[in-house]
Amino acid sequence: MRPRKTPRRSAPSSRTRGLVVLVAGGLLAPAQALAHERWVKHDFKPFNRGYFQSMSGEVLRLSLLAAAAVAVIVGLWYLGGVVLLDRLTPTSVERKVETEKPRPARRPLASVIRFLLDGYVAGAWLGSAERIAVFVFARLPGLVLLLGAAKGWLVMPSFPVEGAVALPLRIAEVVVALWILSGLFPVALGVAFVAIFTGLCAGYGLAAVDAIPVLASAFFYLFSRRGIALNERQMVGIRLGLGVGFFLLGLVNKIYDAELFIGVGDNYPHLVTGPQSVFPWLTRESWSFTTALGEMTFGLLLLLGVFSRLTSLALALIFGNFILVFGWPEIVHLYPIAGFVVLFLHASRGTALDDILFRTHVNAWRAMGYHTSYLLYRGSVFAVAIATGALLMFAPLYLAVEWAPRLFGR
Amino acid sequence: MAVYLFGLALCLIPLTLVWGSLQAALRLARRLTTLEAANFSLSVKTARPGQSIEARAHVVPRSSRSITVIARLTCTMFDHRSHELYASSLAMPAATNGANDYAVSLTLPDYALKTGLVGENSPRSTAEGSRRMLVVWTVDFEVRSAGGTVLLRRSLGLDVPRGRRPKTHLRRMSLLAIDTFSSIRNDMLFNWLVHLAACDGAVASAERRFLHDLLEEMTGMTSGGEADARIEQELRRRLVIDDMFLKRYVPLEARREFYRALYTLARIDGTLHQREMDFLADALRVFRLTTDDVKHIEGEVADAPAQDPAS
Repeated sequence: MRPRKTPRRSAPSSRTRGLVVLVAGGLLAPAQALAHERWVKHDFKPFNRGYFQSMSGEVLRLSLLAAAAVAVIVGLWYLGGVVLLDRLTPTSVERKVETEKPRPARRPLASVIRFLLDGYVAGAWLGSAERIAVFVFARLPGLVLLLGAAKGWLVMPSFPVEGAVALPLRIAEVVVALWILSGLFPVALGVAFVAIFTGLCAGYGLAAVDAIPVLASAFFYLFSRRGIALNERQMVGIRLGLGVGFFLLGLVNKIYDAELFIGVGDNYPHLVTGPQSVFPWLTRESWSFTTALGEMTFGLLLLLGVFSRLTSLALALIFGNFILVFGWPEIVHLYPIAGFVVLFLHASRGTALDDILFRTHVNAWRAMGYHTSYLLYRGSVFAVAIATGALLMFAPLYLAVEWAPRLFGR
Repeated sequence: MAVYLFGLALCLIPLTLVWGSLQAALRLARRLTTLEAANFSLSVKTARPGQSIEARAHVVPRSSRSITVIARLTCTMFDHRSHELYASSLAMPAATNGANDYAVSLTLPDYALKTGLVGENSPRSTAEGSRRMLVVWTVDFEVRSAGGTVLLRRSLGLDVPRGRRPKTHLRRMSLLAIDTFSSIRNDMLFNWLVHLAACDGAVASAERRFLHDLLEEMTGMTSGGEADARIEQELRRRLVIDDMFLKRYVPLEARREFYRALYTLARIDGTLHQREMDFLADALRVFRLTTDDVKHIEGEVADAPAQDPAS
């Protein structure tokens, strides 16, 4: 009845604590499913642990490149993407004509580009698809729990239900699953999810980062309002849960706890040899590190809402690939994929950086004696992009590589 | 999969650097090979609505190259991107023959918005969205080759501390846009009418009379000489408003009425010339109107050709 031990982490000590964690885990099935490194076979061979504990050499170069990539993408968004989107967005007149004379899009390429740049695209089918995606995202955690109850695990296959408490826990799992599937009292369900996440933090400490994506569901339920399929606060909540979750999935499970992912690579060698055929310089260590950087980059972009649809698509591909690689046990990854589909179909109303950029430009305008120009605006975009890359990408990497191992005595 | 996607993200770095560097290098090369010197200045740094500003340029081309210098008075509103609210372009005539000096007088419109943050000093300024706009005025200089290629761009800021203050509770760009369009409409309409009248070569006498009547109605200008001077002035400049802004926020009816005025003038001599038709087609494009949208307007004007376009 205890979670399978990883090489470094012990199960909670007291029975009460264990029970709380198990019940919490039962409710957190979708989130824990993200942490597939912990439950697919991950016995690792010796590797260079020091690689992940010093911000120098290749690690420093890759970290700087990742921060630069984030900065470039943010810059491209404001200086290219937003302008192009504005150009391609139809006017009210054009929309009216499209409504009055339904016909295939006159400019299909423009429509596709507009869609991929997070713009609004009219279409009844899109609205229907979004409603279906929201419904699936709201109910899928229930199906995951039912699957767990049927297969004999609570959270994921790594946590089999055994012993005397197996039956009550599986019944509890079914009850919670039915609550989710019923769609009743969503706000209370959201509160329950937040409480469970808090409990998991207390019970598992750092490993609770795996459960952060459950906050996507927690906020989704918490902010739901009767008669509205999906509101902006729910969108922010989903973005926060999945974005931060994916970011930390890379930072913690592939850099701080690198043995988890390197162990997966050791047991599934084609995961390493495939990328090595494209990037011959990749070692097992750098494979784990670059995979982490990829997940962090796209998690951060998802969190910020920059190229939201393209980022959602990329993350859905990454998770879909897990299912293809590991098969049926990874079927629970359909949960985050459902979240990405919701983000993919919903038109974004701006990014988290919009207000920061505006304020930066205003400060620059003041500093320049209340004069501005397009060049100053570009400079502000540049400053915001660099700051985003440095503070949100490089700084966490630096902390995880240089400070965290010393702080936690690894 | 994440490794490959990260690789793709990394590819954006060199691509962006190469593209940006190439653009900058091309601009610099074009500037260095075509111009020997270029200096720009304004007679004032602070102006009030209605005030005239002298824009000066000293541009020395290489090897007696033929160039034109244009000054563009622009009001831009920034949120997290830029939106041009108003722009008035004027070709700068040579001030002294052979001295490479150019000068032109630009007039800040009476309805000019105050520069600065919208709602900066308002008690409501802490409300979300109320400080989301920054209004600035600039004079943008452009040096062009005879073929129209832009050789150099330079922008100088202009402070308008006593301009019209946008309402502090203004939260949406659409209100600002409609407000601006309402203010600029007559000015812009007259400017476009003058260009429409002149597009087939010269302003015909019927068209000139029409424009005189319009000026008298709009501004009370009764002197024929003054009206002709104003028409000449409008011919030298082209007043535009950001078409993206226009199409997004100005109501359909307002844009239709603008087109009605243009069409009325074009039909004033009873026929539509090819250049006039081209001008009208261009207006439709700028105002994002379809032929279906204006079909009934054209029918009404054809039936009653003596309508007043300013009404």
